[in-house]
Amino acid sequence: MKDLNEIQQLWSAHDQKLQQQMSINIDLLRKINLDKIERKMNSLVLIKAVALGFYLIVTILLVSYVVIKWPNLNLVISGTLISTWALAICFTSIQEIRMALSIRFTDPTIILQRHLMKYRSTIIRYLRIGVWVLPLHLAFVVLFFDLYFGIDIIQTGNQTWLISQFLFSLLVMTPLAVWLYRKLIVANVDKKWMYRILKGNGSQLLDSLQLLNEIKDVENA
Amino acid sequence: MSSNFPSELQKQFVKTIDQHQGIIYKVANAYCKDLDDQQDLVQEIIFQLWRSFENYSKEFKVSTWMYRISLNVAISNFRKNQVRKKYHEGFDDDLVNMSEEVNGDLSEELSLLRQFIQDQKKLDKAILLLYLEGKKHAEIAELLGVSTSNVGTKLGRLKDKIKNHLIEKLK
Repeated sequence: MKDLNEIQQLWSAHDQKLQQQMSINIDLLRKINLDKIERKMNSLVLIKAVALGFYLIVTILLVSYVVIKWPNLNLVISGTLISTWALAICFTSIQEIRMALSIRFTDPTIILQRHLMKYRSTIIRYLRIGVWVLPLHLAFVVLFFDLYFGIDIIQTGNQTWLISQFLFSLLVMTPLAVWLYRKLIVANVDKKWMYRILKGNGSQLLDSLQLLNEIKDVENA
Repeated sequence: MSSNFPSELQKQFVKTIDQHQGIIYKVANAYCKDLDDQQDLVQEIIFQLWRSFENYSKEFKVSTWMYRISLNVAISNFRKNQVRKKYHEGFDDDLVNMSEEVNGDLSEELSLLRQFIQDQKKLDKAILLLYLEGKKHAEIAELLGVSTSNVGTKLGRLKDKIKNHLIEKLK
């Protein structure tokens, strides 16, 4: 092997070898209904849109609850906290759909990879919102008792238990949520615990992260 | 579109694939070692090419357009298995025929070159593939979305690496 021209020529010869190894059945490709397959794939975005519809309905119901329960501050504050939390999920879901629709394989590689990274990291955004359930647990308890038993647990419940729950939320759950919120970031995808939390999504995110590092490497070349 | 199946668009698409299928094979072979994975990747590339075909702009050469999409699909690690299975039900298994390669079919040099490409990082692989296809620095830069000077620097390093690798192995 003497020079690069020779390597390029060698590569040209590769074509024939590859066509012996793999071939697309062109006759079959003519017969397949590609539109049908495309519609099937688009249904994945539809599923996300249905999920968003569900989140929106829940949020509207929660906001209505707040309006109906006015001026009972115990119920209004609990309802407002959970509505805000549900609204954050709605926004993330809208972002997820927008990102899914903006992914174009005709874009330059680097632009596409940045889009994909954002899209794939949506799972982390959901988790970051999810951790706020921890300090909000008392609000859920208040709502549950009101909706199922028609009781305002703040007024009728054992005050010592209520104060202990409030302090538990404030002193244990809130710092825990803040800590988790700070730890649940894309940069930690390669950590074992994070990989476990992300389940099937971890490998794709890790892949994207490595690729972005590669991109930086090329951009700094 | 489906009422008049196959549509005129699909006929044009099949013709384009038929004429440039070598691009898909080269990308699949560079990015996957396993034959089943190569088969899946070829299917995924065909699907993504079809999705973009309607909006294909003639300002690009067909080969450039195909390279961009094929490389993007391969680099993006295509889809998660479960998603892939979902729509591959629509594709017939016989759409891509693969045959086990006999090692003797490849010269030692070609075999080493192929191995070298397969062992590179994803983006380096893309730069190398496009260079070996005879694409100019500016074209590679446009395809990937980086500056021409970055491509030049990176390619310079890759060329040295490939030369040293092949010369050393063939000693």
